Amino acid sequence: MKILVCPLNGPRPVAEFAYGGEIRRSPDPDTCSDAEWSSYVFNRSGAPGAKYEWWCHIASGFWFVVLRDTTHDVVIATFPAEAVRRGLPPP
Amino acid sequence: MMHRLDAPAGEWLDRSGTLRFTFEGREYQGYSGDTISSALAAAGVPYLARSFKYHRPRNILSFANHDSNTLFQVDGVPNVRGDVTLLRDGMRVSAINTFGGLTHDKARVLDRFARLLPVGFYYKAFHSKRLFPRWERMFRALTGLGEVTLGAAREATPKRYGFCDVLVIGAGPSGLSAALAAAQSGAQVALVDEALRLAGNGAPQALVRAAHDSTSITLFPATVAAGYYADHWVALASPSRMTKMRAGAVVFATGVIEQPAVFRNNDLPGVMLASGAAQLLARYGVAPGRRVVIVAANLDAYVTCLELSARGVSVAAIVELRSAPERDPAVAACVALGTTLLPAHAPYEAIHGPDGTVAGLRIAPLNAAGHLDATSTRRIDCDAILMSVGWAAAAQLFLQAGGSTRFSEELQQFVPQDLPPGIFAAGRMNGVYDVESRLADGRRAGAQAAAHAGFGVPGSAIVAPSVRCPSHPFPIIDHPQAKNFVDFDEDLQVKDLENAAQEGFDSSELLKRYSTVGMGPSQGKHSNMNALRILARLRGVGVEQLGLTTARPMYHPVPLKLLAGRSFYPERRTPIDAQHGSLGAVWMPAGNWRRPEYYAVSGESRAQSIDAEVHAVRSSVGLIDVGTLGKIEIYGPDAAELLDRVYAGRYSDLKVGMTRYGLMMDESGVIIDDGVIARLSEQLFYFTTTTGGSATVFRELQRWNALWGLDCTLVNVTGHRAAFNFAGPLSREILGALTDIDLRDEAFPYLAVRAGNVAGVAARLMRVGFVGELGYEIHVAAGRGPDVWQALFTAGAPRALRPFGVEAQRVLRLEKGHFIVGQDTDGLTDPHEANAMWAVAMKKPFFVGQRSLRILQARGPRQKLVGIEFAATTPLPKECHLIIDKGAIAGRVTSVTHSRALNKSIGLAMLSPDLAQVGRDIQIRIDNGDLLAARVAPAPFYDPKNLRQKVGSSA
Amino acid sequence: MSALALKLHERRDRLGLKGQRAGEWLAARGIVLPATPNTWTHPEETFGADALLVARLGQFEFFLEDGMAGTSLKRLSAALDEQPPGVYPVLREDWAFQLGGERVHEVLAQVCNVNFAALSLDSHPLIMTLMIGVAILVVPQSVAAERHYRIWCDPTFGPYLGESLGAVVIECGGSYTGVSG
Repeated sequence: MKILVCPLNGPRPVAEFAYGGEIRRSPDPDTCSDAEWSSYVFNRSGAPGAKYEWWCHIASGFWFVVLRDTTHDVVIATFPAEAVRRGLPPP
Repeated sequence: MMHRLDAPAGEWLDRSGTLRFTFEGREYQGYSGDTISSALAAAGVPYLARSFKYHRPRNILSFANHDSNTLFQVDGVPNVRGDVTLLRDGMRVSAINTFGGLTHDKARVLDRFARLLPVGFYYKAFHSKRLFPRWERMFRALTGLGEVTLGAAREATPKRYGFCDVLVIGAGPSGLSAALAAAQSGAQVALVDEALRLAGNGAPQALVRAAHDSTSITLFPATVAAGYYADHWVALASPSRMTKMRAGAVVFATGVIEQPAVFRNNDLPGVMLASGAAQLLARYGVAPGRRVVIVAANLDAYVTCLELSARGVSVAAIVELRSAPERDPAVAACVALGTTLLPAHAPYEAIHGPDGTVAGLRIAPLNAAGHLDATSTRRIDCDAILMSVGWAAAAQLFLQAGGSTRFSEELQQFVPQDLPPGIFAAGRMNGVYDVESRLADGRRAGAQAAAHAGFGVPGSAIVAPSVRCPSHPFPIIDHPQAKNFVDFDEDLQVKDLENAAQEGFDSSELLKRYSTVGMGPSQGKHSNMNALRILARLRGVGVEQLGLTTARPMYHPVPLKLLAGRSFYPERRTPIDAQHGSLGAVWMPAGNWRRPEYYAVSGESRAQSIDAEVHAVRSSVGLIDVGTLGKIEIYGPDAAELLDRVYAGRYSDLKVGMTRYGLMMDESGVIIDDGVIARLSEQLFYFTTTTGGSATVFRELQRWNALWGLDCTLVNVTGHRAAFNFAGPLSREILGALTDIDLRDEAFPYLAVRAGNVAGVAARLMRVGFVGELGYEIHVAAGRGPDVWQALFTAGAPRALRPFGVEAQRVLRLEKGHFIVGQDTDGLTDPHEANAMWAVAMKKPFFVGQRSLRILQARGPRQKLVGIEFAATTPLPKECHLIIDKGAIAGRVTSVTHSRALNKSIGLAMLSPDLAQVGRDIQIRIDNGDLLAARVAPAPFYDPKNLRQKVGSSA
Repeated sequence: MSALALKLHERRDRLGLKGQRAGEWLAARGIVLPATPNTWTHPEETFGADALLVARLGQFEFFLEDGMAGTSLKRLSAALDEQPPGVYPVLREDWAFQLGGERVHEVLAQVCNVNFAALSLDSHPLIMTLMIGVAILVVPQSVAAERHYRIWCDPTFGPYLGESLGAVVIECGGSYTGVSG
């Protein structure tokens, strides 16, 4: 089983974590078109590459951000959840 | 015939103790230390098995725990692996896949009809749908392995997490020296080997002792490393347990697997792999026969010849496929012993005697080009044929670990090419064959693995592979009458593979699936290499152009009990669990909780009990444990803001001391949860979620909170608070005697929340109306829950209180027309469709799902949740029965019940909007195919103006 | 080595605190705080009768457990009634277990994927993990040179965890002393 290094709890098997999906920028709901919004809600990019993802350590309820290369399933870096608000650099 | 010799030094038997056992009903004896296979071999039992397809008699082939010939039914347990299972006194052993016993197997007639069972038979025969069931029944019966004993007792088998710095798989010379080198670097080492004892397999005994003595090395004998998972997580299957080993680095010293020569009748009892015969001889004192022929293409054949001769077993001839053996002392010694050496000869066919076992080998000369001359064959009498023609790397786990291989023409073997980080290979797998080199290669790999795990420094000496080729490039001999087996498990002959390739299945992946080569219990360990060679020759390409298939974990069969482990089922129980039990609760699962479905009362049927529980709530008072509801607190200046954003309703204007229904959507506007939100103070809200949603809703709220960075804090107190709903017309009066809270309507109106004491315990009370009666939800600390429950129960008992379960609550809420998220709604239901727009504050600047809901509103509903009623009480539809309109599906029933209070049967349904007008007749397809009439009805059905839950103090 | 035993812990007062000011509020009341998340402090290693265990679960999250005869938490709880801003009390009704004795690591290896045997206690580590599917909080402690583990879990998982863990302990030759509720 894969080991994920949690910024709070250290290296743990991935079964201790819940996956929260890819971190994606929402279009402005007040100005975007219906089509843009629908695309945001329903479409996901399955193309492999470096992606920001939400992960939560279940036992501590700790959410954090993982930058993961989905081609090789390798974690490149982790960030605290606040980093999303401050703006993540392009992957 | 196989037979037992006198005890040699170093054998694995204790000949002072004999064990009695039966095989196919006949009694035999073995020694303490024997495996099932070795004891049967020593007893000279002519056959041990019938083959998978043709039911040909079979005996030991590999003695390496690979082939299916030595799978047995033992004391009711199927597919016990005879090569590695220790014999026990009183064991009852029988063969598998026979009809009427091993000797007189009625299905052996199939051997003569082999042409009716061509390759790809499954796909050809099962092509016809009409005939499929007949074929399936017949072949499920004819082919197969052991019989499962359905009544067998459950064995809870412990699993274990293991940890080591370096895991070494294989305890031959290279594995042993790798383990010792890693340990010397300071690493904690786990050393795993399939053999029952870690005896070194030819390594110096000093190394074996050192490994046993080392405190840094944990030994796992009789253990198969059966699966590799990410980050060096390896499944170790031992006889009694599974160890989930997490390693810092892994050394694959998995060695090589001997491969058979392919010639006519190479499956007769008495034809064996030389390595298997050598192990039987050395460990169990069993000779393969009295007059042995060795089919040779490498030096190992000569070593085996010397070992046999030393034990007095006569070697009639060595049939050497090569034009000449290498120059080696072992070869010279064989010649010196007077052994007949026949270079440039091939086995043409094995010949059986009257009992079906080997009586001779017909051989044919090979010309300089390696072609066989079938016109000048001759027979050599013998009772055993040993095959020593080549090896294949045991690379299955290495490939799973992400390693890649290349085919070495010099070695005629796949060898590792690319090694992922932390993965190391050593020994014969690397093509390093002589013992000294294997020891050196092991030391190198062990030191490198330890260094990878953070111990010591890696050495750099690369050990050169063997200069001699240990494997024949094409040990496959054609015969017009075939029966030259490539895969012994699956009864596949050379022509089967030729036909498969001819039919177009000519890549290794397609060939495998079409012909089933490598898909039997041995998973291709002795068939894949020869199949690749055949396919390469047919296609006129090199083996390297075909490549190996990667076996998925577990690559070696593992008993299901090891995978099942103890089977833990995390179950939640509310603090009132014990009381429910003593009240006769009939349990039902609800998420991971167990909840009372209803309380059984003697003399009442299930329906009567539920009905009485419903009636108590409607007429007097009922008490239900709702502790399974998610319970969340949110503190802080931005608490209301967070709720405004994640729930559809508005909470920033909720007055302190009041509650409001909460509806939660996902970003697509679909309803995902609901509950009641109470404002306890300006900066503190307390709210509930559905039973099933508590964990995920809380987690999702935390994520939103982290993302938005609002100044508020969430606390999940689901398990830390007990909660009850105390409901019914008498609830206020009874509760009033137990609490210091003013329950009068003007002091505690409908939908208000109050804090105070109930039965002397600090409590939060919410006046809610889910079941449609005057009622109070009472929340207290979990530890005090039982006291409060008991006080309410005792106070209500003289007033006809009944505890009520989930089923009664479902009836009560259905009478009120309340939906249950996930039952009456599904993964597509939006608030518009569920008639829940009253709970949505569309004017708020933002909430999750709002933007999608705007789109959905403009589009209009695709379905509507409506009340339905039935003219008759029976039959009733079931939940999920379909509503049919003009022959098409127009909706489905989501809830249904009989209401005693209304004296009719009612339900909820998701219905096409054009049918969703009150009074409209609809038809429901029920189980027996009939259409049942129903009518769309106004909901709530019961007390539509909700007067009963709002009832004032004077009522 | 003492005999392997799992005990459901005697009832003690527990309290959680969350919020941006929870730490400073506790410190202002003379409570020694663990400096980093996932560590704990205790006035005496032996967990005496009135000593307060303070565990830091996150930057702004604390878990406190009083000793048997402790009164510290009662004082703190009373002070919380004033609703200090940025300090939020958390109801903790956990079930608490104590596991220790011979073969304790054999038991843990069967129920949890954390390698407790390799853990150094120097920095007073606290572990939040899953044990047979249940989120738990673990404080390893060394008493008379022997490893003991204090384990807390949600009370509604308590019966399951106790019974399941108890069965493994008994199979490993130990004893389980539990009470219901």
